[in-house]
Amino acid sequence: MTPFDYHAPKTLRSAMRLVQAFGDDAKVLAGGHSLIPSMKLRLAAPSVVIDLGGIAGLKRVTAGNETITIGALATHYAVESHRLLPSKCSLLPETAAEIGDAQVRNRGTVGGSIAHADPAADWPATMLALDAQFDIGGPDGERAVAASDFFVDLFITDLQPGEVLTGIRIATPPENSGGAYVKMRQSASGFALAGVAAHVTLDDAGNCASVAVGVTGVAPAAYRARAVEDALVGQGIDAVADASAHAADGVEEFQEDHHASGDYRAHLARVFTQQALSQAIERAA
Amino acid sequence: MKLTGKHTIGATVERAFELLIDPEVLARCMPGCDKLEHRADGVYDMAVSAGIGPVRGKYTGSVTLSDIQPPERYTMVVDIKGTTGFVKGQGVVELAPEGENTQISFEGDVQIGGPIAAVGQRMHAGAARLMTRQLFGAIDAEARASA
Amino acid sequence: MPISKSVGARIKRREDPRMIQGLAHYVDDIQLPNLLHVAILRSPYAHARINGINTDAAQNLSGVKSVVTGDDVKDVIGGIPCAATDPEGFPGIKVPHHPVLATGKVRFVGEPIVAVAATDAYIAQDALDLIEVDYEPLDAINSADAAFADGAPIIHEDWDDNMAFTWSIAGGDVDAAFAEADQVVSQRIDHQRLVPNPMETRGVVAQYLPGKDQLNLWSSTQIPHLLRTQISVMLGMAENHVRVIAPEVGGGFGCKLNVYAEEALLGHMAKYLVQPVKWIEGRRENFLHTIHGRDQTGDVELAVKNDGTILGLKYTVSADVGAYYQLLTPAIPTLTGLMLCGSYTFKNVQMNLTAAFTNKMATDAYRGAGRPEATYLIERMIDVVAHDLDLDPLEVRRKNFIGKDAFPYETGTAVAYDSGDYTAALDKALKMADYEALREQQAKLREEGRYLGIGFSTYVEICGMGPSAAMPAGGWESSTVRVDPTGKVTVLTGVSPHGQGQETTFAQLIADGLGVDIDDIRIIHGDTDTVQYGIGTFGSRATAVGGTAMVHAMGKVKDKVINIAAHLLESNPQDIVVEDNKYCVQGAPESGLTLGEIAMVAHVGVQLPEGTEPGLAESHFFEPPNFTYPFGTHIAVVEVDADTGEVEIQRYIAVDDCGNIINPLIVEGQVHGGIAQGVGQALYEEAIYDESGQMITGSFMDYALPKAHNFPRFELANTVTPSPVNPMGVKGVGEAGTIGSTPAIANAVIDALKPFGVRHIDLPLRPEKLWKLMQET
Repeated sequence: MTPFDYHAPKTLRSAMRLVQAFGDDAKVLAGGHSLIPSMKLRLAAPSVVIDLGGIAGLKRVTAGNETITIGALATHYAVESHRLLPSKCSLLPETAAEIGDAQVRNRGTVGGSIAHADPAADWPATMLALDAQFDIGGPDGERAVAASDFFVDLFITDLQPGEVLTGIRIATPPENSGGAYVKMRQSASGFALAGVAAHVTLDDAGNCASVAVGVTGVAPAAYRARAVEDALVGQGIDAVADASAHAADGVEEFQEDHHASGDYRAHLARVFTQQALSQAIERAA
Repeated sequence: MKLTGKHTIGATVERAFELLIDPEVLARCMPGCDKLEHRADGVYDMAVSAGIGPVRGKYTGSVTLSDIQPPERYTMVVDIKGTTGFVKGQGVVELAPEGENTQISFEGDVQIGGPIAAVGQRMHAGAARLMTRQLFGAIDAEARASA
Repeated sequence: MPISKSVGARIKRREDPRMIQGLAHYVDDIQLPNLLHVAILRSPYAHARINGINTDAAQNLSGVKSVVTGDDVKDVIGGIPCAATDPEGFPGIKVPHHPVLATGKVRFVGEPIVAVAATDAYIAQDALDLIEVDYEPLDAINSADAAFADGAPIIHEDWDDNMAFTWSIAGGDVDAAFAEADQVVSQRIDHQRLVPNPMETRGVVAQYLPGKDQLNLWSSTQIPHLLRTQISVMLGMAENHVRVIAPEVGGGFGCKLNVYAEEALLGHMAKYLVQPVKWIEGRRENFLHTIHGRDQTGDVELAVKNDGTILGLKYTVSADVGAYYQLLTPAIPTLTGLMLCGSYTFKNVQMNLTAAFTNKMATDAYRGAGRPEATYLIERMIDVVAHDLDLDPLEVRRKNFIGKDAFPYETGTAVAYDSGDYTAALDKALKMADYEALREQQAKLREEGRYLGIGFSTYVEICGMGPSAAMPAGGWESSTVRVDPTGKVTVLTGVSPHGQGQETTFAQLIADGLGVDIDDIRIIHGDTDTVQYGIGTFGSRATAVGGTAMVHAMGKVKDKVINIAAHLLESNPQDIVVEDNKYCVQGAPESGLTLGEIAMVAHVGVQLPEGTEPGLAESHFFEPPNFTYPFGTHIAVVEVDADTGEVEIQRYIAVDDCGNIINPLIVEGQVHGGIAQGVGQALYEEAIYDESGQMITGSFMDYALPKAHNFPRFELANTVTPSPVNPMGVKGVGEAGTIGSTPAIANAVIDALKPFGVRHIDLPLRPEKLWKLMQET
């Protein structure tokens, strides 16, 4: 095997120092569900692996009245099984439950998935729909990036060399809010052929005061379906069908392979947007 | 696998063509290029560290530029291999003026083999397009910087 | 055979406790002193000349013991065998030499080129990266059509085209049938390539004992004895100096009914290095270099009367068999030919097969092996006939069924169905499904824009393989039953179970037959030094053929036991009965003797009747007079999502008739797994090679196996029509589920899309395919 140095820092600070010291030679290990298989298949051979798993405090999930926080190393299962999330923000556990299988959810981490930015991963859609803020530590201190600025391209995020994703913050949705995640699983891998997360807050008249739609599996990076949101804001459930027709607007390049063409993924994005929005509005009402 | 695409370069057709076939520019702009050395007429030895997501590998091989018809078109063949497999791509690059800029369109075939072919197929098209986007994007940046 | 206390009972598998506790020993669990680990460099090209191989760097890597190339072994290891190459059966057959390591040329991605033995598996893998092979890539062929195209590259240059072999079968008078027909119903049907994917990949450990000139070979195989014979030939060793052991084997589905390069190669390396070697196949290697199944595409024509009566069938088909033959490659499509008439009475039938070499892995036996192709095409065509003639598919089936009084029944392809009652199975399944209500529900949902489909498969298949005359390498089976002095029973069986549960079902037969507790019975298999020669486990034969051999051997033991008992009890053998596991004179159970007491007498040898040999062990070799023909009706109820094309299986009803049932729990398990695998073919699975011959579905990220959440709770039942072919009346059930389910699902999905004018769709029925068809109308 290709030898590599393994570091298991106990604090975030020492992890940062290692990440900055080794730069491109290092890979950061969270739950290990992308990096380890790649290394086993000899498709990746980093000379340094920095395992964040020993850092206490990065695994916590909290659901306060104002903010929901998810430590970068929280497992999918920690979100799926959190006691308060079903009432505070059901979209989060609903998304978590769609990921892989129980074994994957017990090991894989939310932060790992987000930083990895697989174009068919589930979390990016939901993070976009919830307008999540990602906390990032780096050589110049901490910064926060909105999900909508984070997913740049195929496996490319706004993370710069030397930076590490440390946590996720989501504003706890107000009353009259609802969300839904709808996906079709690629029949082999379980990743999303297309997945749409929708989140709405209704005004007193039952119209959408705010709408956010995140789409995964369709383009090189997950994206916000702004045209859908613009068409629906201020409108009610009757406008969902027309608005959803814009779910793939502006996508210049579609993901495609033998499982599904770009056209079909675009179609699924529209269908699932309609379904997710309808459910979200229903739940918000 | 077919690979087609269009990109805009912020320069005249003549200038864009110069940049595109300049090995020094290519060495700078090709994603992950570690080495590009002229070997023979239009053939360059190349070493790249390329990858997508966690999948990374070092590849060596050649880039061949042929059928060079300035400033309209040329053919580019990339033939590289490494321990994770091999990539062989060939395509025709065409240039056409687009206002003050140049529109590049390319059409080609990419063959991917070995371990990366068997396990990463859903990424092939996306990765190939990403790399061409990065290549032409970087050349565009050079063009605009030197304009 | 009468059902007594064990036979017929739902007894949990005796194999399972050790497996679920991690106490079972598979090939990879075998550790030997100084064991070397082997890794194999495989071709990344589908078709290329090898202009040179430089192994210097690999050889110099610390820990590497040996690097072996094709040139090193071409004169010492014979070619990989194929047992079905008779030119009388396969006119024009070309039989290319199939080396264990490629020389000069590679012909598919994954073909072995160099083997490295090192002190650990990591070093062996590292060494592969240091080997330089100078390839000259050639154009590749990824389909039979491409193989036959003008100007196609030639895969085997000893010949001037890529035609591998032809095969045909004909019965009745096809021309007359087509002349008499009101209509000819035609359809091109594809049977996509599949990867068997057993849970345990292949693996080999080889050890050579120089003092005895003995080779011990552990392999994850379904056929230890056949493998021993072939390995001894390939390595030029005396067969009685080769011992093959199939330890615990984690599934095979036919892909381990074979002789592979690695088995001979490891045997050779162990002998040459005088050091034990181990190779465990990775999943990626398994996708590329363990046999594949199916891959036939053909045109079917049915001659029909307007009332739905089928008069005849023509099938013109090409098979893509890959670059080389494995053990049974050419024989597999012949099983398709034998079963073309299905459950139906037409006798005018003709199949013309042309097989092509392509730059892919060889096809061979995968669960069902040729019969799923036949069942899928005839069951699919019945529905196409119903579609074209605007008839109920059930009506077409009933009109053409072979009646229950017609058995034994000789088909147009000259096979003799042993027994059957197809209508009974169908009626039972219809009742379970509440068919009329389903059709009403379907009509109602269609009005709401929802698409429910109901699909049938009224299959018949071949099991109990089989009479030796019809098999490429013997079809009989063997068993030895011996009773120890203390009354414990040991069975040696020539079959080689790898998930089928014969350690349980065989013990049930013995428990009842000999009057002994099931815990006192041990079933031994899979070791050629221990077990008399046998054929192995495949073709749903283990119980029907191997079980029969055992029952006959047991019968001989029992005759002897009764003779001894009669002597001891001063009675006549015909008056001895077994009651409560005691051999006693009828009406006098209190003076009865246990098997152990009698066995002790047999072994002590002083109280035996005049002329009776001491000891208590008997063998039997059973030659089956015929195959067996299980059958049944499967009904699938699916809904196709109008927005996405996604298929949901709502109900699955299966009524299988596998003759008498020894253990219903095991039969249900076989049916469950079989259905899942057949549904995999219908909805998910496909091995795809791209135009350059790269396999793009080479991992579970892209090759979709069915998963538990894809299924509803199966609704299972049986009819029981005993087979006259063996004394137990059993037929076999290992492949029925797979054979029955694929067409049931396909027919259900196509039925769902009937409002869109859909007549046929090739498998797998991916959502996008269905969605597109719904958009077109």
